[in-house]
Amino acid sequence: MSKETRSQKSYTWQRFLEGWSLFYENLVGRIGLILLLVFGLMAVCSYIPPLIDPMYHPMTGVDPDVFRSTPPSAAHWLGTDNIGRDLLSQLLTGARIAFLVGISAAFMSIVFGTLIGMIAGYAGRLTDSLLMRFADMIMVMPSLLVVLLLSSLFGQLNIWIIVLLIALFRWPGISRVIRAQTLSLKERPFIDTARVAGASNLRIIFRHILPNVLPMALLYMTFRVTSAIIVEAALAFLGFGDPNTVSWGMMLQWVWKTGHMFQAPYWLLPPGICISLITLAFYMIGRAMEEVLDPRLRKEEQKV
Amino acid sequence: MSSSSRSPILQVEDLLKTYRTDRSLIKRSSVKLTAVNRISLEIERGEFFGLVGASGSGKTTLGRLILKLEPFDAGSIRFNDLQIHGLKGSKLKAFRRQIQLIPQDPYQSLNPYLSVFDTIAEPLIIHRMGNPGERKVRARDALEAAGLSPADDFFPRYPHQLSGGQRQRAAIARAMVLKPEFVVADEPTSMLDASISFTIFKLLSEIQKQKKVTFLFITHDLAAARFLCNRIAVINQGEIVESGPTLDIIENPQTEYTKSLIQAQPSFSFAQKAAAAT
Ligand SMILES: Nc1ncnc2c1ncn2[C@@H]1O[C@H](COP(=O)(O)OP(=O)(O)OP(=O)(O)O)[C@@H](O)[C@H]1O
Ligand SMILES: [Mg+2]
Repeated sequence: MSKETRSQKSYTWQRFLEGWSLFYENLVGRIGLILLLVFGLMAVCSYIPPLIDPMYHPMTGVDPDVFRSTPPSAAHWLGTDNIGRDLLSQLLTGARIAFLVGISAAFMSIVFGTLIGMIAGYAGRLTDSLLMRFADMIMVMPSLLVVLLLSSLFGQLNIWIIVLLIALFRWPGISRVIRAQTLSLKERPFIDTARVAGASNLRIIFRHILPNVLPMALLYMTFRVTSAIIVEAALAFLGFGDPNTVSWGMMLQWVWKTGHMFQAPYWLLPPGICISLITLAFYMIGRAMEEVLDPRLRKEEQKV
Repeated sequence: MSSSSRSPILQVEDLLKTYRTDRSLIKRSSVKLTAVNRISLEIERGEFFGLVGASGSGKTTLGRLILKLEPFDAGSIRFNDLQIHGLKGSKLKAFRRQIQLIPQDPYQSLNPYLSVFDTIAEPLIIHRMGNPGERKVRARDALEAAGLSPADDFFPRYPHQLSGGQRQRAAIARAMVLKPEFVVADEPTSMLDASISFTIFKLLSEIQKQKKVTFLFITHDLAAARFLCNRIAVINQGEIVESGPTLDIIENPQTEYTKSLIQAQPSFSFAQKAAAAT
């Protein structure tokens, strides 16, 4: 390509395109992506059943002819729960809740983790030690137990509180990775030239370090989605979920509480399989992203 | 600063910088490494001053101390008769406007996520100079003066879309956009090949003559120093072993160390070529 025809693509965009083509060659990543698309479709479709008939509403819709849990039928493709609510409609709504919980909790923990990691790595010395000891403390805390304790203290938790709690417990791992990256970025000469030009610490962190650590942060976000979905499901299954939401964990809790664990596989299996597959999907995507990012990271470090 | 125009722009006195290097994790014993050992020197306004020494002699460290990128242990650095130690607030900001750095490695010295325009305009934004329109004009002038024209073709590019020499020119434009009085150039061409190095040297010497900028030029290459610098100081293991007019030192070296530096130069053909070209 000559200088004139070389397109003026931004570095971010070019890296994204390069990464995408590598990602797409990766079988694991492709399977993960397809799985995720299926779940995305489920989440979108969750709005349809209540429109067809109010009895398909996942929470409040009750089939007037059903008085106990029924296996799949023409009216209820996946059957009903013990009070006659449609299981398919619950399962679809569960996908929406999983995305909501997973992505928002992961996003929040990424924001905390990236900020704290950058500050610790950039400030160094005492700030760094304090923040990292704090991160260690949270990392070794049995987070599920603490959330259980909190919810037994404060009664039923709202889904957003659960999201926030998950985020608050899941940032330390990310902050360690971001801190390590910040430590090496800090030594790069463009940080020196920024300081010589009079840039404030805030400007250096947000203008110069942040864009460079963002790809790594996004990678870790996919792993955090996985763990957030699992934590929410576990909480819900143990009876500490938000009683006003239909998550897959809640569905499992209802199977268990109504004593259908071993009588109604059509009720037990779908949410169980969905939880496994959606976490697997995010995990596979994360792994593939890691492979895309990793050789390039190594290559960049060799240039130093 | 007209009152200080008689005195040297930079005065370094008895400067000491040590690094602690931990020898072992268990014993906590640390070794002190003296990177800059009681250095004194003066740089006159408008001169092209060279700092020459072998690898690890402390050149970069001295440059970083002068740029206030690191604290020092003892001694003093005065810039325009102002002690740089402990500078804060608006005085620090004013200092930052007057002294700039051209770093060694153009592949590492530009943020890969910033376009050429954002890179060059950043110092103007930091020092709140002009409105966006005026900043564009100043950035354009700086880039074209650094030899990348038409500037508007280069503005939207990112560092990965530039050659090594072009990157170094962008870095020079960034350093010059604030119209600094003093520039530290730390081996600005060590990552570039000889012919490109030569064009960069010519650019620096042009800038120094036209803009009346004072340069501290750091190099291990006596030939480059001879081409560019009117005075040099030779540094060895953190100490200045001799200093004076460049030609005096090259023709009549006083120390074995300087002699060895001259001998390490395969020939002075480069300098002769440069001299012939000017
Ligand atoms: N941050 C640091 N911590 C510990 N030691 C350091 C540090 N920076 C530099 N040194 C040491 O100080 C000495 C001088 O280093 P400096 O980088 O100033 O050398 P230099 O003359 O610029 O060498 P080169 O020509 O290779 O760039 C070296 O021995 C180096 O190992
Ligand atoms: Mg050096």
